[in-house]
Amino acid sequence: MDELREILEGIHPEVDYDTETGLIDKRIFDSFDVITLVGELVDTFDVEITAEQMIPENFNSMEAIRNLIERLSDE
Amino acid sequence: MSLISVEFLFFCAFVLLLYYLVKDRYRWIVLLLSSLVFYCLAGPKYVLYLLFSATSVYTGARLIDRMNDTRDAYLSEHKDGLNREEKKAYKASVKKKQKRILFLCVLANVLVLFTLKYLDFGIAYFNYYRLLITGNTNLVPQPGLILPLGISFYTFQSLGYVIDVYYGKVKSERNYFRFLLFISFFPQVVQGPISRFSALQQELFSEKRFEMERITSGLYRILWGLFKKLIIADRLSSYVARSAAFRMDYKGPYLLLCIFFYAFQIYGDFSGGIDVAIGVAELFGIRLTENFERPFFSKSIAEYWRRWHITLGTWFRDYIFYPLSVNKGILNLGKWCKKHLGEAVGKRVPVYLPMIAVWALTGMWHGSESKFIVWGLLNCTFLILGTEFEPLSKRIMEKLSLREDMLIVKLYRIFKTFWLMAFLRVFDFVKTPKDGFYLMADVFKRWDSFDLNEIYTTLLLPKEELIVALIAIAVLAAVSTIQRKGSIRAKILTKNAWIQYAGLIGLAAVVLIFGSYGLGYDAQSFIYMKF
Amino acid sequence: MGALTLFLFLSVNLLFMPKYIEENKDGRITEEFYREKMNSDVLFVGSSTVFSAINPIVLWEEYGITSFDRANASQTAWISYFMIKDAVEVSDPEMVVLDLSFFRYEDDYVEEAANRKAIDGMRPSKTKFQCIQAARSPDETYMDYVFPIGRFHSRWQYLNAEDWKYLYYKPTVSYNGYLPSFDVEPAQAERKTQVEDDSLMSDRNALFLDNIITICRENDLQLLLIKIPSYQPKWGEIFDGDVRMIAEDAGVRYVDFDEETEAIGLDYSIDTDDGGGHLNDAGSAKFTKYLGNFLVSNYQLQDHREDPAYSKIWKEKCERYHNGE
Repeated sequence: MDELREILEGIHPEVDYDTETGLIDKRIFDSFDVITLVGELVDTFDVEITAEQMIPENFNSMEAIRNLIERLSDE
Repeated sequence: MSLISVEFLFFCAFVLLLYYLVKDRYRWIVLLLSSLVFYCLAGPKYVLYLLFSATSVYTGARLIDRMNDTRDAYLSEHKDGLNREEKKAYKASVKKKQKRILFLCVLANVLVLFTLKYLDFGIAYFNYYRLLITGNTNLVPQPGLILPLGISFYTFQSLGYVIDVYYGKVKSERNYFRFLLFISFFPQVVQGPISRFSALQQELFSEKRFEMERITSGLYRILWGLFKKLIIADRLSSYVARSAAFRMDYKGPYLLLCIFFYAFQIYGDFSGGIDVAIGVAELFGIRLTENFERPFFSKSIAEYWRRWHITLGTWFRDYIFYPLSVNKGILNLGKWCKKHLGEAVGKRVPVYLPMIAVWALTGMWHGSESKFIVWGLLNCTFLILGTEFEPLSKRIMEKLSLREDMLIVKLYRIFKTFWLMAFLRVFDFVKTPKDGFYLMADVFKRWDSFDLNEIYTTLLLPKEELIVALIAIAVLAAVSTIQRKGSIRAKILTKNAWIQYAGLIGLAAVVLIFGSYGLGYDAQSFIYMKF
Repeated sequence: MGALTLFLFLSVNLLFMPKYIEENKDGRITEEFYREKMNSDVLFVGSSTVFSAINPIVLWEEYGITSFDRANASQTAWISYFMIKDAVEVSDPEMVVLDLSFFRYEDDYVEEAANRKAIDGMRPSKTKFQCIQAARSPDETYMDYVFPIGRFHSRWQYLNAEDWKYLYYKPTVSYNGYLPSFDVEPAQAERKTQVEDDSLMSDRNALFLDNIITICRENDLQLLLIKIPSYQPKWGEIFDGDVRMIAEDAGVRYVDFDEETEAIGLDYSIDTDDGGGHLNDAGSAKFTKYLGNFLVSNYQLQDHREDPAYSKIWKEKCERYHNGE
């Protein structure tokens, strides 16, 4: 799943995604970034993200985003 | 019954007594009954609206949840019999039905809210334009509907709940009466905060023991709310708002003062009321969500709106902004724009479009007149401008070798945000959006002669009252500054009982004496009459 | 802590209430009635005309009658009724003398200051609540009477030494309700009969007059209706006729002392402090003597001067009055 890293680095290259766990809580990602990210995820992984997934816990770290995608592709 | 009234204090005292006298598991029933009584006191027939909302949303949520259960049961029963595609199709068909229920539920409640809130105004508009365009002088009569107590608040709160159930974020409440309490809980039904079911459920129904500390803490919160409301807001409103109505011939400086005071008036009024609501709930051992976080210390408009009327902001974010912006249609539109109009546009469309919608709705929430929509959209404009100019301002800062954490930069930003937000509030004073812009422009006119002594007569605010207002605002600012390092109440609660007591009595006395309430302000003069 | 809170709260209420001691003394009269150690046989009820024209000290010295002026500025018919009701509940009067000077005002007459002066001093009772109900304007609330701080808190900027000095202890300021005025302001204008606004007694005034007649009858009180003499205003014919008719119908005696100005010996160039509206101390002495004589000749009233219990207390009252304390 290095595609995810690529997407994230495309948005904010300066962030260390291996350790950062507060992408939303620390406001590193603003609403722009989140919406851009969602657009990319939908395209790349062919998942359907709806408003119900739009909670900080799902986007706070690369790990969390990965889990989200896995959960969604399982369905 | 207003939250700011002696009657309400007595009502709370009575309910509180009852609440801690009955057994723990009946306590929520005491709250429910008193909430219904409280609501009935505002006009018994309006309870029907509340019950309609509660019943429709309760039923909708139950149906949606039960479909989840049957779906899960069906899937586990046919675990091996179905392949992935079949499972997916089945799930989708369930989701579709649930969506239909959700849609009906939302539609019904929104229709009621819209009709009550905007029908009169819509008819007025219709009449106006029909007259303008067709010259038809017949007027469609306005029904003059009266808004039931807190309808905007409880409608939003219950819609949030049913959407959460649909998303699977919370399980639906089986007990209708428990749900009814969630919707009608009396401290918050009048003006919020707009609570989430996931948070409030636990607070309302968990075990409670009587704790003196909680009572003290709640009382402090209530008194602080009364301080803001009675000493600042009501004192200013009896003068400033009244004088603002005659503003047209005002000199610029006075308009500016009006705008300045109005910012504190509206903050004292709203956040003071919320403090009372939260404090009263605290007496019952129930924590409500905070609705304000020292908004006047915000360094940008975006931050301001994260700290002012927080529960409305997050409501719009979660139930309007996100659903709109991650909606397939919007995302596709964004992609299309990206392809045809470039990266820059494509990136902005899925964010800005929902934002504009949210702010138009936020404007409408505040009132039915068109000026409120203009006000909302102006906020949105400034938010967008703030985002767009961020790179530029960063570059300027670099040029001037300023850093974001420098005090002067922070102060400048706080100053800028405060005045911008205060300026936009002039729409509250005026009739039409056009008047609002004129008024803003008027602030910069007639600065020729300015006599400090004229303030009292112009603002109709006697010197003594003005001094009290200014001192109270200074206290508010000081308290807010200290609060940044932690709750003052928590600190007081570590002190011994007599100090806690003295603080309470002192605060109560200040509110009692300097509050602006009761029958007018002529208590001294009126007693000097002979016959 | 509860007791301390209550004490502080009541103290704050007391502090902010107008004291009515150095000015507007009539605000003290209602409460001072309860300070009487001995019974007052005669109650004089009415508005400011009463407490400036009828001097119980003179009545005692001349005739041994014990009496009290239960009157306040602009005291309406309904408040007068409840003053009598209240007095009957706490004491044992023999007679009520009601001055009708204020009965010519309209039904919707309401003066908050007058309400407060009359009612604030009343003891807590059902009668007080009924009185508030009858007298209050739509803006005034019960709560404002129960907790006066709600009405008077904005006096914070006017609190003065008087407010602190008389916070708990208040000296007696009236002489059994009588408030002497030693000023003289001669009547100058031509005395005119009131023609404008002349009308029958309004419904509510008539109703409460009727209530007063009834309560006096039920309690075996002798009742006399009077018009205290004044240079101005002089009642119009319609109102005057109506008053006489009401009295006659009810079988109650009515005396218009305006008609006896000469017999009383009133001289409006020296006996009034406001050009003829109210009597000053000199005027009141003349009138009270005349009225006292009328009372003892026509009604059953006891002379208490030989009773040591009464004379001891009244001696002090008389000394206080003559020393101008």
